[in-house]
Order: sequence, then structure tokens, then C-alpha cells
Amino acid sequence: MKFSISRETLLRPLQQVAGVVERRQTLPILSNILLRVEGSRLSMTGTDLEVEMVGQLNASVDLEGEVTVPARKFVDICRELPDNAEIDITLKEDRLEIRSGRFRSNLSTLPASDFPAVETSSADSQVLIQADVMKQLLDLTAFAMAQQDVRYFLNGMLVEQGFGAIRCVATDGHRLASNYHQMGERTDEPASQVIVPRKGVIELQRLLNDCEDEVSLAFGANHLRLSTGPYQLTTKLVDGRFPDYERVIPRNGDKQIIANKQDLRRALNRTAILSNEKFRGIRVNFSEGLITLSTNNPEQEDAEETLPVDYTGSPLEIGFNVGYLLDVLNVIRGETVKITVFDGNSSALIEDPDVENALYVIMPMKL
Amino acid sequence: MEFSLNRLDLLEPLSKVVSVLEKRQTLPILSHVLVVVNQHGITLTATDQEVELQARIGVEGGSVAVEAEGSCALPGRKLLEICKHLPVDARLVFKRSDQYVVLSSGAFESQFSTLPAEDFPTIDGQGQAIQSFRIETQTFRQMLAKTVFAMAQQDVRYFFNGMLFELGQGAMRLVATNGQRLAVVTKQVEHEGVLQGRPIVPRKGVLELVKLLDEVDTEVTLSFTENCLLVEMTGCRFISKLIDGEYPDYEKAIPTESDKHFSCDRQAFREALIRTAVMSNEVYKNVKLSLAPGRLSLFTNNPLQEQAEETLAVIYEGEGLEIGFNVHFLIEALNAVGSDVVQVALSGQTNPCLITDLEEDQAKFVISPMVI
Repeated sequence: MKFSISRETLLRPLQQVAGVVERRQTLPILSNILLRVEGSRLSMTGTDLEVEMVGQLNASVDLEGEVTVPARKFVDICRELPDNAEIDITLKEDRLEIRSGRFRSNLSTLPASDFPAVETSSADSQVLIQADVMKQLLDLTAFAMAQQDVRYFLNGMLVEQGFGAIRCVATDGHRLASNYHQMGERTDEPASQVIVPRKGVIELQRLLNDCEDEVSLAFGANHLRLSTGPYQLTTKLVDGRFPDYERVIPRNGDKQIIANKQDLRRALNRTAILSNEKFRGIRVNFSEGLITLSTNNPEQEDAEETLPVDYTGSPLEIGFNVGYLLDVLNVIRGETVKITVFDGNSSALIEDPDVENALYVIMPMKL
Repeated sequence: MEFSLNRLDLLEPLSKVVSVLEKRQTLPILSHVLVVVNQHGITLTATDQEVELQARIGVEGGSVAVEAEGSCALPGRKLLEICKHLPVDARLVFKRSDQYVVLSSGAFESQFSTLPAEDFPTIDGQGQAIQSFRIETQTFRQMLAKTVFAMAQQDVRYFFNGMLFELGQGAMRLVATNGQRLAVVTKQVEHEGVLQGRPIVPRKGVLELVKLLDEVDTEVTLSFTENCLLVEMTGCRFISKLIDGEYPDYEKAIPTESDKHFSCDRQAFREALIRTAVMSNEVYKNVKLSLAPGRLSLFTNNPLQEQAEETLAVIYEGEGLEIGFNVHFLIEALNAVGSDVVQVALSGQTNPCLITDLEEDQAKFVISPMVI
């Protein structure tokens, strides 16, 4: 294997691919990336056995071949070379030689044949979607995913395709976020659901940051693949049954509050400081035209703030985890926010006037 | 105690003093800020018992209105968080009732638990100043930047976990070392009376000082008492205890008889070291330097048989030499050098290397060699 490439061309894709590689892993080869040179193409692959990222580039190739090298060291060297450096890479027996100007280095390698490929079946269906639309679907919901929950299917995101739409739902059992994008006509084709693991969602978000235009999403029986320009990201799926989100979304709310998002968020931020550090409970009182937030903690400290809102119903008190409220307000795009409640023991439904397909549910908390 | 002021006048001094507080502390009062209110204004004090920072918010020209004098200790971080999250133009009213302090601002109201001001452990920095002089902030900041990295951390030779402020011959010299590398920089200072002494400022004190000086005016006053360093800045006063100990004779460590002198571009040398460092042994961090007329080669390798090498042009005519160093000690010294060109002096494989900054302060960096 022998090729040369400029640092500018190599660095960004290399960093994207190496980003998938976990810092700590059990198998030495998982800290490596696979380099494969064929024709005039260099392809680089990084994996953690759950998520695999491939980046492809043009290089000036002298000799084809493939090998794996330590990801982090390879990135560190390329990053530290001067801007515009030309890099010559040659496989010499079991060493990969990197040359640039007066710099020369030998990297250890492991055979390409040992590199684990993420097993994929053929894709059952494929969707084309704008990168920024897909990114918004994920960004507005990812915060609600569980983390290291024993209900392993909650440590991921439901991606549902059907009725002419693509929908993302995440929940940790205490709150839920859902958002969808209507691709075209609403159809009656049945929905198919997959659960993308947490790490896969985070990598998808990271890759979509770098994308413009259209991306392709391919759904397989046990994988989801996003392809865009030079990159291909494949994530395994979580095998499990995601809760029926429709049943979680409260539809019986009869009391509607419309508040200024920024004012509410700031007031919550202030009052949250003197809430119980562990439970983070906040008492929310609705009354004619007003909302009162109050917190207290075991040190007998307390905070209270009242702000005007648009509300005409009967007085009501509900407790929430203030962190969950803030998480939702942080992703709301609109200037105002709509909160719909039924009583003190029912979940609240929060909607964003600027993103009408997004909705958020937060369970109440006993205080 | 009752007073009010604008958020903007409180936020900056408060965040300054809170930065001194340790995240975890043994005594509850060490997470508190002492607030003293009198007719002149408000003083805020925070301490971790090694350093203390006091900020003053005066009544003149400011927004402070004092209704009733008094003092108490308030939880520092919580107070700061609330201030940060209040609207930019908010007015804050503090009022004490029993053991609580109520902070209200517009529609927001909160109640803080307090601790008695008498329990607050202030550092007694009032002793007679033995030495006192003024120094340009810019100069002082630069001196600290060139030496701070060389201090030891949690070394049993406790005096190495600090910085020597050597005073004498009309000058102040800062020295820091961890036993394997050393940094020293000297500057003339204007002073009255004798200038003499070898106080050692602990690591935490030095690091806090570096942070504080970042945002301060043109000149500061440094005073040393028997056991404290006092730094007076506009609007605040910083105190650090001193380390009780005798700093070793560092002069012996600075090589004077080197016969192999080369000079080279600082940035090129530094970047080549950073690249080659990737392949050095993760434990020993070794790099081998091979000096020959006109060129210097850097070479690293590790137990995985990986290696890196780079050659750079240097100005040198003399005998060849091969010598090993900890690559990070070299990189950190070159980070601190201010001039575009550095001068490096070597003598033999087992003798330390001396790097000289060609800026006017002639800062010196000494690094012990390493057998490879």
C-alpha cells in the first residue's frame, strides 16, 4: 500500500472516522482504523462494534492495499503536521511509514483481515431526507433518551417510518420527546419501527453537523445506515419493544398556559438553584394570568418567583423535576411555549409554536 | 443588615471571590462568602485557608445603598448562580431576618441560610509588611507565565509545590522547579528600603494570582509579611500564606560551563517536538536529540516498536552529541519562551540543557537529561 494525500484533504474525514473509536476498549484492534486503498480511493473505517463510520477520499495511489493503524496516534500526527503538508504513506512489512517534509514516523499495524465489520443485512427500505431536517428531528428529541437504564431499549431512540412520515421519539420513563417530518402525502402504509442505540444517535448528530444537502437513510433488519457524500455511518439497532408513545401523550388536558419561553426559562434557572440537589423538585402554581415557581432545600433555603402568563382556568398546583422542564425549554425554538395540563397528578404536554410537529411530555412529581 | 445594589456591580467581584472557594471542603463555612456591610460599602471575602481574596464594592459612584450595617456568611456558589441568572439590569435587595438572608429582585425572592460572620476564618495578613514594592501588572504576569508551569505538584519536597520569590539587589526573581526541570526569570523593581528575602508562595496562591492578574489594571503592590504575601489591586486584595521552608540552592542547577551552543527557530523546534512526541514511550515520554553541525534530529520510539523522527535546521558548528530528554519538559519550556529564536546550551550526555529566552528578561529554563 502506498499513497499520498494533502493534510487538508485527510484531516477532517479522518477526525470524523476516528471519532467513533472508543478511548477504552477490550480488543486492541478496536482502537485502530482500517485504511483501504483501491483504484484512486482511500477508504477509512472506524468502529466500536455497535457503530461503524466509513469515510472515502481521493488520493494519489501508487500501490493498492489495506491495513489497520492506531486511530489516535494517526490523527495526532496528521493534526500536528504543518498546514498544507503533503503526506506520503507507505506500508513497509508490518509498519506504516508516514513521511512529510523532514518528518518521518513508523506506526504499528494490525492485519486488515482481523478488523471487525458490523454485520449488516440488506436494506429493507430507503428514505432520502434533507440533512438539516434529519438533524432537527434528532436534536429536538435526543435529550430525553435514557442513559444506562436497565430497560435497555430506552437507552436509544425510536425511529419510525410510515404514513409518509419519519418520526423520532425518545423517553426515559419520566419524560418524552417526539418529533416528526411529513415526507409527502399522508399514506396508509404501515409504520415500521427501529430503535437506534444512544451512541448511534450521538454519532448521527455529529456527522449531520458536517452535512448539507440530502442524506440517505437505509433501514435494515438489524441496522440503520446514513450515507452522505464521502461518509457512511452504520449503526446496529436495539432489539426490544419501545413503549407505545401514543399512550403516554396526554390528550385530556383542558387547561392551557402560554408563557414567554425566555422569561420562564430564566425564572426556572434562578429558582432551580435552591431546589433539592438530588430530587430537583419545583412547585408550579397556576392562577388567573400568573404562574408561581417555588423551591426549597433541606438547608431551609427557598426561592420563589411569579411571572405573568396567558391562563384563564382554575388554580392548580403541580410539582416537576425542574431539570426536565429546563431540558425542554432549551430545545424550544419559538418565543412562546404552550403547556397543557389536566390536574396535579397528570403529565403536562408542552408544545413549541415554531415546530408544530414536536411535542414534549413531562410526568409530575410528588413534592 | 440591609442593602441593595445593581446586579452588574455585584456580579464581577462576586465571581472573582467565589473562584477561590474549593469545590469540596471539610468545613461548611469554607463554601461561604463573608459579606460585610458598612457605610463605606460592601466587602466580600472568600478563603480556602491558604489563600484569601477580598473584593470591595464602594458606595461612591456605584449603585450601593446601605440601609443597615451588618455582616454574615452566605453560600458563595448559590449566591453567584442566582446573580448570574437574574436579568442584566436587575436591582438586588438583601435583608437579614434572624438566621436567614432574603434576596429579592423584582418578582423573584429567595431565602438563604447563613453562618455567623465571627466563625469566618480570615487569614491574618495584617502583620507588619517587611517588603513592599510596586510592579507593572504586564511584567509580573509575564514573569509568572514563564515559570508557573515548572512548579511541582504534590511533591514530598513540599517547598517545590510553590514558587520562590527571591528578593535582592533591587530585583525580584521567580524560580520554580520540580527537581527535574527549572524555570527562572528576573526583573528589576522599584522599591524603597531594603529588598531582601526568599519567600515561597504555595502553588494554589500562584495559580490564583495568575487568574486575577489577567483582568487587572496597570500596576499592583506586592507586600511580604512574616508569613503572607499581600497583593493590592484596584477593588480587591489578595492574600496567600507562605510555605515555611528553605528553598534549595537552585543556582547550582543552572549550567554555566556548557560548550555546545545552538540556536534555532522556537516555533519550528516546538512543533517538531509535538509531532514526534506522539510516538514516545507513554510512561517515560523520552525523546532523543542528535546534534550535528547545522542540524538537529529528534527521535522517539515506544515499546510497540513505533517510531518518529524529524530533522530541523539549527545554527551550530561543533562536535556532535546525542542526548535524551522528557519531551514534555522541552515542549513546556519552549511554550514559555517569548522570543522567536531560542538559544540552547549543552555540554555532555549527562549534563542538563539550558534554554535561554532571547527576550529582554533572559528567562532561563534548565532540563535534566534522561538516559535512553
